[in-house]
Amino acid sequence: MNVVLDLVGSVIIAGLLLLMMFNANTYQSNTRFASDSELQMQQNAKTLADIVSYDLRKIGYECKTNPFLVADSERVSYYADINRDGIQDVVTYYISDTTRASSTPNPEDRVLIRIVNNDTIAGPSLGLTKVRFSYYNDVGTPTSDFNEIRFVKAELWIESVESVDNEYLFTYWELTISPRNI
Amino acid sequence: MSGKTMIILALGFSIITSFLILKLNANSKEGLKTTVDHFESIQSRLIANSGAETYLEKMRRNKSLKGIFNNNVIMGGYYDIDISGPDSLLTITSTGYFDNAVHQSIIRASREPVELPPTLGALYIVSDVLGLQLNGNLDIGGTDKNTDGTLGPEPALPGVVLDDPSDSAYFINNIKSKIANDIEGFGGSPSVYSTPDTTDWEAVVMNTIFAADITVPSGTYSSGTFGTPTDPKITFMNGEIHLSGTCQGDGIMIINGNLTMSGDFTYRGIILVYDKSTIDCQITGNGGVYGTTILVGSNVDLHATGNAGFYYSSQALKNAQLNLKSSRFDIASWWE
Repeated sequence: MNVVLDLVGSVIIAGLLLLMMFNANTYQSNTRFASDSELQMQQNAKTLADIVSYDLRKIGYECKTNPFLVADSERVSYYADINRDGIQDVVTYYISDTTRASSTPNPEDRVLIRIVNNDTIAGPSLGLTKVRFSYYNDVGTPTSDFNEIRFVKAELWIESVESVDNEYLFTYWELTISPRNI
Repeated sequence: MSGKTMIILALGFSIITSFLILKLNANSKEGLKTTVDHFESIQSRLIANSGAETYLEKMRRNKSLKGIFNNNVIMGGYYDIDISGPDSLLTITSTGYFDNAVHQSIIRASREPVELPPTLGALYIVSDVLGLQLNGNLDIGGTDKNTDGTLGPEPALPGVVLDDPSDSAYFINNIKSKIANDIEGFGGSPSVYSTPDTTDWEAVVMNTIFAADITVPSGTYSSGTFGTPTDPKITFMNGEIHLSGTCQGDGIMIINGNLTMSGDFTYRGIILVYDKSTIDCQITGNGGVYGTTILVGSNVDLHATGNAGFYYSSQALKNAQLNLKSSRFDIASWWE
């Protein structure tokens, strides 16, 4: 009888330990996944900010007149010789609707659309859910007058592409640029 | 449970925990690297732009500054500068380095021309109160004269121009007939006219001083050269100035204070004597000014003896306009 009790006890304890090990492994996997998602979101945010920053700094480059064609909260379009070939280009930024990024698990993410002349460049979503452009004059007051714009602010809302514990990680990136050519 | 089982379980937990810690550390490092990369990228851009701005400031002071200047240390990094092209089409390339990040800023600029004060006559006086004491063989000529004494191509201007009709009447009524005959130019002798003053002289003076090539303090200058015909200069003299002996110059001379000219002082270009209050201008000796001489002040006292001459010279003025360099730049484009 004692032998049977010893065996049952051993099996129970071994099962508990295996369960703990399994839980530890699952926890490790989830933590790694959350950490990976957070890192990827951070890198995506930096990539998007770098792209937007690079292009917005070129507003009006080699343009003799006011460079702005459109300047509203969701879209900015302007002249700039973006590839330094001596020819004026029209650069446009806006954000797509959610259908453009329907292949990703995140239902809210969209694609940042960059159009240079008629050449549309739309990369992967990178978790971007919202973009807002705003424009300021030389004393920092919001303006919609193209001739008064001296600063352009871009705000990016970015989420993780995949959910972590049924929630999407979130970050916000804001950059205010004073293009030197306007 | 046997000891072996315990060891296996402990090892298993340790391995799982170690993997987790290693992974989290790796992600943490990667996240930090992303942040640091971004910082380095921004820093290299700021360094490149700061380098360009630093050298634009240097070019303001050193008007012939061109070439390649490497390894300029700033903000924990360094930048290389390449300045090329003529003054009308300068290209300044600044490459900023910060750790592994490199950024290049390319600026196209042109040096703006010097804004010369208006030329209305050989001698232009702007004042509220005018004092005159003109003797000797003062010679004032509004007829265009080259610096070698030959006639110039441009139409004659008045010999003397004042800013108020009452001043021109006062001037004519208070000079001796011999001197009146020696004030030649537009309209015949005495060639004295008035034109309302619309010039912001303080702005003219400040803009010119901003571009000064030579700055000298109060004192007597009996030798030396303030510019040459091939290399005219913007000279700023501050205080009581006495120009005498064989002293000479070309370009624009701004005198903020009182002026005494004696000996054989000769100048080709523009002499502008400016002060908000009183100007005491004493002219003796045999010197000459080819171009235009402008006296601006609330009280202007002009005392002249000797054989000094003031001549309108389009040649001297054109030479100044052509060869003087300002310290202002028109930035056509800035790639960053």
